[in-house]
Amino acid sequence: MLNEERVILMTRMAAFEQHEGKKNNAINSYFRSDYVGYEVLKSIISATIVYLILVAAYVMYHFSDVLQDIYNTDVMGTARKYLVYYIALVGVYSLISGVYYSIRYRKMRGSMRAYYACLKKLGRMYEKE
Amino acid sequence: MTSLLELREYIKNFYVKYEIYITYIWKFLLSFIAFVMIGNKVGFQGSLTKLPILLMAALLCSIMPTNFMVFVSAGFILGHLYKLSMQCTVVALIVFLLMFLLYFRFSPKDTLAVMLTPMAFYLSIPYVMPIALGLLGSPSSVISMSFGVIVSFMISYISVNATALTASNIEETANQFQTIISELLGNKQMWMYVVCFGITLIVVYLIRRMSVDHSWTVAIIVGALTDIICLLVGDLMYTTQLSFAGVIVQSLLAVCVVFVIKFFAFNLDYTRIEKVQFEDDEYYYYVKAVPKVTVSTPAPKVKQINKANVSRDYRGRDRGE
Repeated sequence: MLNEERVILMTRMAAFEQHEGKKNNAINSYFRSDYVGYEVLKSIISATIVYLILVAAYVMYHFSDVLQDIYNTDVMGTARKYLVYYIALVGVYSLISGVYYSIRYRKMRGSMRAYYACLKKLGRMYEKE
Repeated sequence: MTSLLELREYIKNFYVKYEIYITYIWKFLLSFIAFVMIGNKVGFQGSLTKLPILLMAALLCSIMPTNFMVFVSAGFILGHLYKLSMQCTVVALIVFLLMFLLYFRFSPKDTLAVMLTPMAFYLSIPYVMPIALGLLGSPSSVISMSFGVIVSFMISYISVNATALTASNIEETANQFQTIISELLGNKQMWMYVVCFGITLIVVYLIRRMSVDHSWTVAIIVGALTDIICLLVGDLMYTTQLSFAGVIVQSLLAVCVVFVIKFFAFNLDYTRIEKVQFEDDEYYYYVKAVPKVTVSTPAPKVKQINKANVSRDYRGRDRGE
């Protein structure tokens, strides 16, 4: 015989799995530190690309000045300046993404906990039979 | 009013019932309109304005996730600009890359706002965007809307100055690159829009979240006023040649549009039809769960004339919104 209550519970769980669960499952297979670390690493890479694009745009924008000054600039000084900008950009961006993904991880844990509670309830229903 | 509410319930039921097909259709129409608009504005690449190409691209967008639409639109813009000149393409590419790399990793939900904002500008109802996003979105929508404003100003700058932007040699190219960037970054009107829209969106969002009666209506009206005041003050401060009458008329138009949006989106609590499959030891289940849609008829209002300021329904409860 079909147990109606059980079918309803299972349907709700399956619907959750279809929407939230799919996203969460990817997160769920990581520890918090691994997940956040991985995302921060991705952020660092994208920030690096953005920085390179910005530098390239800057060089194109000041094309004639750069060409003129190329022989009489303080190379070390310039390099240091650019490095500071780079670290500032990457630092700020990875900080933001670190905070963001930690919050997301915590939220996901909350919804997964509710899901596991449903799972337990389902298990008890089976035991009763 | 009752018949309007019934109409809304009817449309809601219809939407819940045929959600899958309607989603395909609106995605198709939206992307098609966007591509046509891009073609009208910067249609330099002849092959990208042909109807079969547009239809096929729109068809593709209708079956892909929503964000794909934004990618394809960006691709269309780049394709058109590539025909015009290299430097325009590079500038557009930089803007798009910054947008996708920095921001949309975080909030892929908002991506559509980037596409809708330029479309609203094209239809000359840009003031719909901050109010609508304040009602339906979150404060972080400010960023995607700002990108949308920047994209739309970039496109209109290029489309207006198209003839001047075709360089033949490398030095001219570098100069023009400089011009485009400095024109874009120095466009006071654009930054004014970005700031004003941002303020409006936040104001609308804050009021909408307040637990007062008619918070949505108040939010819309206060938002429109904030927008008008900010734009006019900004115009006086930076002399951006904004037409006062235009701002007010367009804002009124926007308020009308937003009220229509509000009518359909307020209490947007429909739950979708779920089709799920699962199994246990004895059965396979193929379940289609259809949400119960209740047509809520307002309770009759009993007004007592002999008591001052009493407005309770027949159950004795205070009647809120």
